[in-house]
Amino acid sequence: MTTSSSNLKLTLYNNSSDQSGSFLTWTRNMSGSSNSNMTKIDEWAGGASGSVTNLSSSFSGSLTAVNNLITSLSGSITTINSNITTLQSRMTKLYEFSGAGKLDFNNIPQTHTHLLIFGVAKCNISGTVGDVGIDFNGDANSANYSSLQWYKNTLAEYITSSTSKGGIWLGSVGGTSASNYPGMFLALIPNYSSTASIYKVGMGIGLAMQTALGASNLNIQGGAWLNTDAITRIRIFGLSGTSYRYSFLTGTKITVYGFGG
Amino acid sequence: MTTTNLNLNTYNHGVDDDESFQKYRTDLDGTTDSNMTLIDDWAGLFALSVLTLATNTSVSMTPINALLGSISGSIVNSRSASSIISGCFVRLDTFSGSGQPDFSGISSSYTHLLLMGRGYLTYGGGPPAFVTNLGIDFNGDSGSSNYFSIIWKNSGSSGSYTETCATDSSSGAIFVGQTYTNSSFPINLPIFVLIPNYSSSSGFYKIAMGFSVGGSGEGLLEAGAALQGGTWLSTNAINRIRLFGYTASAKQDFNESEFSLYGFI
Repeated sequence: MTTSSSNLKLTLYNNSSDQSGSFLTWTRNMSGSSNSNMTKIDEWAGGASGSVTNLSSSFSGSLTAVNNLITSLSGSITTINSNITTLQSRMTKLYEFSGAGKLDFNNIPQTHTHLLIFGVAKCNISGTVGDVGIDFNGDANSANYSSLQWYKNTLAEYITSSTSKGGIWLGSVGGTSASNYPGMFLALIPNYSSTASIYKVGMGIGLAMQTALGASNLNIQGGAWLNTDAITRIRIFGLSGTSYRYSFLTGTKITVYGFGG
Repeated sequence: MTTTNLNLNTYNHGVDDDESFQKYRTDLDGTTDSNMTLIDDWAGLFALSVLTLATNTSVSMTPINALLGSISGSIVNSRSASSIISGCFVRLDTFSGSGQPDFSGISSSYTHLLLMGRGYLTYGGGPPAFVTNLGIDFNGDSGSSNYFSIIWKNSGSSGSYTETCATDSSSGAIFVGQTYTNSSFPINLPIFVLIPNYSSSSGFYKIAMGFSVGGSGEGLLEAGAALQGGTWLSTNAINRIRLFGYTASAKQDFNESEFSLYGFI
């Protein structure tokens, strides 16, 4: 009694119990033209080869599809990154000063058109109110700036110009008096990255709050740096009647934004 | 006869039954061209094909993996960059129509706030329209002694304008501009309010300022400009802002207004 192998169902003989089969039967089982071991092996081999061929073909096709997809994906990412770069140039926070001291923002990226400076501050000027000044590219030479200051309080209205501050007025903030009463300002430095032959200008609008009578003020200030260089550095500090530069007090926060791509 | 795929030798029994044992054995197990050598040759080629396929698969996966790794890195960078952009300057809330804007639950994720919009007041009627200061308060605090403002304005009717500058510490609000009451020809005044460092819970008292300009009536017969601001006598982070027309008797509603609150990161 023959048995069949597990996978290809080949005819097998038990050498101890199947000794009576004829040579002819054996050859039929082994090499007969139909349903013999040889034909089963041949059919399986044909199927296996076909499977490998199909697998290879499918893999090649899949690889092409994957490659096309990755190429498309890569192109989309390139476009997205380009769009992000464009958006980044429109409005980005470039720098933030927080705490005590003077703001010094160097190596300003030249990727934007304008700078917007927004902050709340007090400075260590003795008294009620001090001014806020800014200079550019490390230039503190008084002869290189012209500035104009208007402010209004309940007692008076002031408008004055100066060419001796070594910077531009941007606003007014509280001095050391009335410790919790700050000042705020919003300033613009247009076309800071341009090298066109036009002097750089800046201006700010602000509010200084104090408790003393007539000490709080509303103000608009600004001026020009007599230079056409692109601005790569800004320093912001407290100013008083002289060109001495004061530090800001703890609690100050000033943020510099770039915008306009 | 031979099989279709491997060309193995098979016999048509009944026809080929008289072949010798020698012939069968040679065809089956002979050292050349026998079934066993044909199967062996095929097995070798088959194994090689599978090995080649496996190698090709592995080789192809390496650049795909590298490319996908690169793409993944780019996407991480893009996501980070886009996150920065999306958070840099964001509209946090809006108000439109009639009533008083009440922006509550303000996210503390930003540094500074900008409130801008336009509106006129339903209060008062007219003509003639008349100017009214705009007030804001923070965190629902309307305590009359908790705010200190400085108010500059220059307003009036054609040819007659009055400039005033005063402080206020008893109105329970910071004054941030002006608008006009209803009239036969109301014009929504633009209003621009700045609130720096609103999300900090330390430092100085919170501060805000605003400005407005415009008027009411054709040709702006009633018109003015205002620059105003002040402090809330608190260092708390601001999480709620209310905007209203201020009169001593009540906080007045806007009409046909549109306001937006923006955050600067």
